[in-house]
Amino acid sequence: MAMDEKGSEAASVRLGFGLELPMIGFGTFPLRGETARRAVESAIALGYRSVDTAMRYRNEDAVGAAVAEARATGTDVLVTTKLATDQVGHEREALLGSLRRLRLSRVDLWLIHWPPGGSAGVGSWRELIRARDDGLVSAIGVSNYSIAQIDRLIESTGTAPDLVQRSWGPNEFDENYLAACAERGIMLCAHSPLRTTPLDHPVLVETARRHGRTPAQVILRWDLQHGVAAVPKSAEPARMAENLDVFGFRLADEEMRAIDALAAASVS
Amino acid sequence: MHETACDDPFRLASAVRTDTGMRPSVSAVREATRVAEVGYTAVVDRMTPALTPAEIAANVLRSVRSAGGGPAPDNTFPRRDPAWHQDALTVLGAHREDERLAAQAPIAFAITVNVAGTAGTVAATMVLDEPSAQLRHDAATLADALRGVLDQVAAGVTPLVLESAFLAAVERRRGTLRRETLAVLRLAGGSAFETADATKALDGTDVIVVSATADSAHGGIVFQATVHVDSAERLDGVPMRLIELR
Ligand SMILES: NC(=O)c1ccc[n+]([C@@H]2O[C@H](COP(=O)([O-])OP(=O)(O)OC[C@H]3O[C@@H](n4cnc5c(N)ncnc54)[C@H](OP(=O)(O)O)[C@@H]3O)[C@@H](O)[C@H]2O)c1
Repeated sequence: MAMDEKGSEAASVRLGFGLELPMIGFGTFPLRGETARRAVESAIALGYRSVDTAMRYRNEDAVGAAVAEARATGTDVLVTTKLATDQVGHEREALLGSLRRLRLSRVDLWLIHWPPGGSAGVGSWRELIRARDDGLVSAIGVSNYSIAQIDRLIESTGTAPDLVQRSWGPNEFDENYLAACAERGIMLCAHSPLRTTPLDHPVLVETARRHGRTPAQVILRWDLQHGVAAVPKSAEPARMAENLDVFGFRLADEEMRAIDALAAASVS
Repeated sequence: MHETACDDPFRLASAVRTDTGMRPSVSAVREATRVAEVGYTAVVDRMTPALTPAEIAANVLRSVRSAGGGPAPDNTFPRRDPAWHQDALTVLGAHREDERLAAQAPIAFAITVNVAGTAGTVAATMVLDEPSAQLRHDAATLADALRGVLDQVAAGVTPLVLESAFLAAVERRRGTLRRETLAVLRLAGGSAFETADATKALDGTDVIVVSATADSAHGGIVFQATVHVDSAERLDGVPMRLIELR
């Protein structure tokens, strides 16, 4: 992972087909319309180079407008969007709709948003592979999938997702899930990285104090050190900047372990 | 409410609420419909064969509340028997709250919410397994009939005309459909749905809910749209086709 001096540019990871995905992307739910467009513009101005949206968010048009503006001035921004669950059997049509709203000829990362009806959605997965083969998307993945559901996709098609996005924060830390992704060569990306653990938890507050950082930065740093990408959302430029500024410090091993332990503590 | 049952007569699940208060603005209905759609996504995105109606209703309520809404005072929409109601969710058919829904049968459901005194509703039909050719045909027949009706929605048209077009369209490709019903409702004040008088022309300023329900050999089917009459704009974006979650 590379880091520039100001820490304003996110480090990235190489996904399938050579896609360089920034480890910190900008989450856009539930922003919509002008609010979403302005927020994405601010995020890009602050250094974000990856934006997370979905057909479901009804903001692809706003994201597309902000990204098009950035691209027009030579700033490349990666776009992730997601296939809504109710589009099973209509995947290509759905993708073409997303591309149109996003004003793109290719989506960088296309995910199945939820396992359809709790199944692995093998039929949809075949369509994601076909879209990648047809050059309409660069990398493909899934969201909110269990490892068993991911294995079903691999068994049925021989193709593993490049990335899985799921709700992931200290309270949800699952060593087995993380290891299973690594074994299969799948990148893990945290959605709702900040919302799922109380930011005033004493372990986070104390760790943040030691590093002169905020609890949100500690969580995102913890993600990075686990090799997990994240897509935090903020509508506030100051917090957008804060969430991106997580490359200039390092958590010690014992701090990592203390944060890992929050998950066990949260269920007991 | 303006409804017709073609085969069996059926009983309305509840009396229709009418309210003489101020009609909501299009933007208020748009917002209430958006919140109802949040409830819809809570059903389809989180659906698994293990869920019971009560669990689905709880997911819906949580999502609707976090989106700024609550259940509408009248949650019996679409009014058809038998149906199961809890909070913002209605599922067509006879269900027990603790009984899983059959994977092979269509799950026809509606979400009805109240957002600051304005009602919003969406409805859809999904299956968790590969549907039979017959079920696909029946669902397509009902959806196409409703689409045909929506094409005719305009100021000056009466609900009776819409209903005749609907019944004729179903008749042409009936399949196993029966008890098909077209309901045309106006959104009234106080989060209520008001019967659109069958013989009174629609007003351009109306926002109406047009709801098509029917039984098929495999179970109930519902498709629905909320439409602003003047612009003919559909305010909800729920797919008007059988949703296959598999
Ligand atoms: N794949 C999926 O199913 C799925 C599901 C959920 C979310 N997502 C994606 O993941 C993104 C992020 O998830 P999320 O929005 O649920 O949760 P999140 O990013 O963990 O948290 C967002 C909340 O935290 C606040 N916040 C942001 N930065 C902060 C900071 N530095 N300090 C304190 N508070 C801060 C935000 O408020 P302000 O806006 O006021 O700053 C907002 O209330 C979404 O936007 C979406 O793109 C995907």
